[in-house]
Amino acid sequence: MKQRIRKILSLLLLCAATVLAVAGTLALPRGAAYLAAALCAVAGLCALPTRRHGTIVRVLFVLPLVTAFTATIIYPFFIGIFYSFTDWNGVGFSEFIGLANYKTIFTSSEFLYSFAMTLLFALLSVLLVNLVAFSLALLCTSRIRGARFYRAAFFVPNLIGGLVLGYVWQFIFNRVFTAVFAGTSSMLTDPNMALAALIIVFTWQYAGYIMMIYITGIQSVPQDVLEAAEVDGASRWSTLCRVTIPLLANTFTICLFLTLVNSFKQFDLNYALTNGGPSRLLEGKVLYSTQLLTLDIYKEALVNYQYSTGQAKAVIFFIVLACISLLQLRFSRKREVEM
Amino acid sequence: MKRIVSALLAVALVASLCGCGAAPAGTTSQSAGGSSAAQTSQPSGEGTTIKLLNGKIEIDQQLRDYAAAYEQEYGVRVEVESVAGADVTTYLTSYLVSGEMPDIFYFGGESDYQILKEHMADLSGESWVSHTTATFEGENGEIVGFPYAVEGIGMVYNGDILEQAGIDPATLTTIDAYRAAFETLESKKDELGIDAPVSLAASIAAGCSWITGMHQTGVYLGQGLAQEDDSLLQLMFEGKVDKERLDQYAEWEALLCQYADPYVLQSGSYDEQIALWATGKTAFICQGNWIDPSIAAYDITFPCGMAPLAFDEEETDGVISFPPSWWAIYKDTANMDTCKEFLENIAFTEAGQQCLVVDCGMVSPFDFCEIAPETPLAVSLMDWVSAGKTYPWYANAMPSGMDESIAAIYELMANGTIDAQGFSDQVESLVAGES
Amino acid sequence: MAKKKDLLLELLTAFFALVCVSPFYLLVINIGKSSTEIITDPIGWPEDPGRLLANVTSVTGHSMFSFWNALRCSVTITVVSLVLLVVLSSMTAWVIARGRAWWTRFLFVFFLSAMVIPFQAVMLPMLSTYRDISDLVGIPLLRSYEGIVLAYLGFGSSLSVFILHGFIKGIPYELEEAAMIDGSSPEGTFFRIIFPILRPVQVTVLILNGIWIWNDFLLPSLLLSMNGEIKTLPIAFASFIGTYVKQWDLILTAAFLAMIPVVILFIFLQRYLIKGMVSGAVKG
Repeated sequence: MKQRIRKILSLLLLCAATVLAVAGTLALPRGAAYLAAALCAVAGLCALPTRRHGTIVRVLFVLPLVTAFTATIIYPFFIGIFYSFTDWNGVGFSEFIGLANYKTIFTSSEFLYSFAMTLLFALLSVLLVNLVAFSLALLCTSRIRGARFYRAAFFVPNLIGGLVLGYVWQFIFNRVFTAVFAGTSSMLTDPNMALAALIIVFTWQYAGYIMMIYITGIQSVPQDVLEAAEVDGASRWSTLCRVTIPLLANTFTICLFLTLVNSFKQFDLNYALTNGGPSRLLEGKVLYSTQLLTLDIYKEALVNYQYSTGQAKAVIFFIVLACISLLQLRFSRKREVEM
Repeated sequence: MKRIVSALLAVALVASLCGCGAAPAGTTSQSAGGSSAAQTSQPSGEGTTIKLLNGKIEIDQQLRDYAAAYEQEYGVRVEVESVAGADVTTYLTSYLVSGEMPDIFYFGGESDYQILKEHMADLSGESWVSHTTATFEGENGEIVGFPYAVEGIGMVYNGDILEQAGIDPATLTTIDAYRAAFETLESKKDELGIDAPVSLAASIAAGCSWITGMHQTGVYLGQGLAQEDDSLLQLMFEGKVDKERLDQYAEWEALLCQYADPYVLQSGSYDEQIALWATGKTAFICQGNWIDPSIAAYDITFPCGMAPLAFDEEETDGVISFPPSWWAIYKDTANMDTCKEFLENIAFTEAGQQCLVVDCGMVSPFDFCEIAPETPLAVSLMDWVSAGKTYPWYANAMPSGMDESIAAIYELMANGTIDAQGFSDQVESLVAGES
Repeated sequence: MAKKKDLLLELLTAFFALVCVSPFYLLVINIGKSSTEIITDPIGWPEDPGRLLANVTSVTGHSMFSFWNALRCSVTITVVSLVLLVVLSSMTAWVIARGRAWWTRFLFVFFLSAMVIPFQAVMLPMLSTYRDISDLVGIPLLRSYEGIVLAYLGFGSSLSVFILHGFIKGIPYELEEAAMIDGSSPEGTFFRIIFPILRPVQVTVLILNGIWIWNDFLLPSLLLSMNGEIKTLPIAFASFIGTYVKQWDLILTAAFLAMIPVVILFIFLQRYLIKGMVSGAVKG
C-alpha cells in the first residue's frame, strides 16, 4: 500500500516536472519554471520505488556540483582552447585562424618579457618565501616565550587580500620609505627595485602561511630522535641539518609546490602595487617592467579588447603551469624516496 | 495612436524649442519660469525609469542631484551610474551581454564609437543639433553623440607666483618663452617659496598613464591646428608621424619633465599633482578645467588661468578645447522619447545649464547658453572659447592601447632613461607598429 | 650561554614580528590624519587622532564605496557559497569515496585534474559560457548572486571534494553498513551518520574557501563588474580607488575598512582559522 502511494506520488512529481519544463514558462518566469521543474524531478526520482534507488540518489548527490564544475571550468576550458585558434572577440568569432594568435604572442616582446619576468619572480619568491618561512618556523618552535602570539602575528597578513595590501604597500613604498630615507626615490620607480618590491610584499604576505605548514612539519618530528641526537652531542645546527631537514622532505615538497604555483598565479598584488609599471627600456624596446603573465593576460583581453590573443596567452600559461607543477611534484617525490 | 501622440508632441517640442533658439536671450529667462519646452513633453515619460552611464566620475554627484530634481519635476526617474571613462566600454560590453544596457551612455570618442556604434541611436533630428558644433558624427554623417560640455586643456598657472617672478602669462606662446619662464622660476625658487616650476605626474603604478599617454599626446595631435583638422590623427592610424613636429613636441615634454617636481613626476598620483600646485608649491600644472572641483577643496586664493601649451618655436596662441566625451542613446531602448526629452532638458533648461556649467564647472557647448561659468579655470577657458582661440583634441580618438604604450615611453623620459630624441624615436617606432 | 642564545632568538623573533605588523601600524596611524598631514608626516603620530572617525564616516558614507552595501553583498555571497559548497562537496565526496562504479572513479580524476587549470585559462570563456547559459535557462548569471555563487561552487569544488574525500576514506565503512542493514536509505545514512562525522574537516573546507572567497577580486570584478549593484568589498575598494581619487587618507581608510571584518574574525577564531588553513593546504 505504502509502496503504491509512493509510486503514485513519484509519478505525479515527474509529470509535474515535465509539464513545468515544457509549459511552465507560460505562467512563470523562465528561470523559475526550470528551477521548479528540476526540484520536482529530483523529488520524483527520489521517491521512485525501485531497486536502483541507491544509484539514483548517488547520481543526484553529485549532479549539482558536477554541473557547476562543468559549466565553470571544464566546458570553458575546452571552448577556450578552441577560441584561441579563432578571432574570438569575447562575444563571438567569425573565422578559424589556426596558429595565428600563437604566432602573434610569441613574436611579441611584451609577452616574452612578461614570461621571463614571471619565471624570475616565481623563482626568487619561492626561494625567499621558503627561506623566511622556514626560519620563522624554527624561531616559533624554539623555546621562546610567546611563540603562539608570534605565530598569529606572522600569519595575519595572509588573511587580507592582495588587492588591499597592494595599495597599502604602495603607500608605504611611495610615502613612508621616501620619508624615512629622505632623499631617496621610491622603489616603485625603478624597474629592478619594483620587482624586488613585489617579491618583498609577496613574501611578507605569504611567508606566515608557509611558516604554519613548516611548523606542523617540525612538530611532527619525533621527539626521541631529536633527544638521541642531543645525547650523541650533536650541535643544534647539525641536528637541524642532519635530522630535522631530511625528515621534513615531505613538508618541503608541499611548501615548494604551493609557493611556486601561487607565485605564478599572483595577480591582485601585481595589479594593485605596480600595475605593471614602471616602464623599462630593453634592447631598444619599451616594456612594462613588472607586468607578470596574469596581468598581461588581463590587460590583453580586458583593456586592449584582444580576447583571442589573450586567450592564447592564457592557454600557454596553463601549459606552463601544468608542466611546472607536475615536474616539480615528480622531482620532489623522487627526492623523498631517496632520502 | 501612441505614436501619433508622441509625433505631435515632438512637433510641438521642436516648434517651441526653435522659438527659443531664435531668441536665445529669452530661453533662459523663460525657462527659469518653469522650463516651458520640457514641460510640453512631460507626460510621455511619467513614471518610467531611465539609466544613464556617466564616464566622468568628477561630476557624479552633480548629475545625481540633477536627476533627483528632474524626477521631482517630471516624474521620470533617472538612475546615474558613474564609472571611469576608460572603463566605459568594458562595462558596456558586459551590459550588452547581460541585457542591462543603460538607456543613455557615455562614450569617449572614436575608439569607443568603433566598439559601440551599432548600439547608438541616430540623433540627427534633435533640436539641439543646430545649436552646437560639438556633436559627434557617426560614419554616415548622422549625429550620434550629445555634447554635454566643452572642456579645455592648457598650462594652468598660478597668477601670484608668475607676477612675483615678473612673468606675464600672455607672453607664454612659444617654447622659448616657457623655457625662459621656467629658468626664472627655478632661479627664484626660494624667494617664491616653490618646490619646482611645474607639477606633472607620470607614474604608471600611480595610475597616471592617462595624463602622460593620452592628454599630453593630445598636444602633439592638436595644438596649433584648425578645429576639424585631424591630419595628424589620420597619419597616426596610417602608422606614421610628423617627425619634425614630434621632435619639437618631445623637446617640450622633456622641458616639462626637467622642471617638474621630481617626486611627484616619478611616483605621484593625479591627486598629488594637483595638491602640489593648489598649495602653491609649483607655478604651473598641465591640466584642464576639470580640476576646478578638485582645487575647490584647497580654497585657493590666488588668481589662475590657462596659458597655451605652446610647444613650438612658432607662436601658438590658444588652448585645446573639445567636448571631452558624448552621451549616446541606446538604439534599442524602450524609452527613446523619454531619453531624448532628458537630453533636451539638460541642454535647454536653466536648471540643466546650471548643473553642467556651474555645478560641474564645465563650459556649455551650446550657443544659446547664457549662464557664465563661475569656477576659475572654466572662466579662463570661456575667454579663450569666446575669443575663438581654440585648437582641436584627438587624444581620445587614438588607436586603442596607444595611450598606455606612450605612457610607458613617457615614464622613461621622466626618470631620465631616455632623452627627448629617444622619446621621439620610440614614439615613432611605436606608431609604426615596430615596437 | 644557552640563555644568551635564547634571548638573542627572542629578540630576533620580536624584530621580525615588528616588521610584520608595522604596515598595519602605519595604516592605522595614517587614517587618523588629513591628506596633507599624511604627505608631510607619514610616520608620526596623528595630530588629532579624532580624525580617524571623521575619515571612516566620510568613506562609509561615500557613494562610490558604499561600505555597508558592499559588506552585505560580501557576507551574502560568502555565506551562501560556503554553505552550498560544504553540503554539495560533502555529498559528492561521499559518493566518490564509497562508489565502486566506473563513473565514480572517473569523477575523482575529473575533479582532481582541474586543480592544475589556472583561473586565467578559463576566465574569458567562462564569461561567454555564463552568458549562453543565462540565455538558455533564463536565470541571469552575469551581475547576479546566482552566477557568482555558481562560479564559487565550480572553482571551490576541486579542493573541497579532494579534502573531504580523503577524510571519508578514513571513516570505517561498517558504520554505514550497519545503518543500511537497519533499513536506512542511502540519503538517510549520509545525512544522519556521515555528515555529522565530517564536521571537523568541513570547518577546514569552510575556512579555506572562506578566506579565498572573501578576498577574491578578479572573479567578482569580471562576473559582477566593477560598479554593478552587487559589489563585494574588494570590488568596492578597487572601484573607489580606480575611479575616483588617489587621496591617501581615503584610500587607507577604505583599506582599513575592507580588512577589519577578517581581522576581527581572526582575533576570535584564530586557532580554528590557522588549523583549518594549514591542514587544508597540506591535504591539498
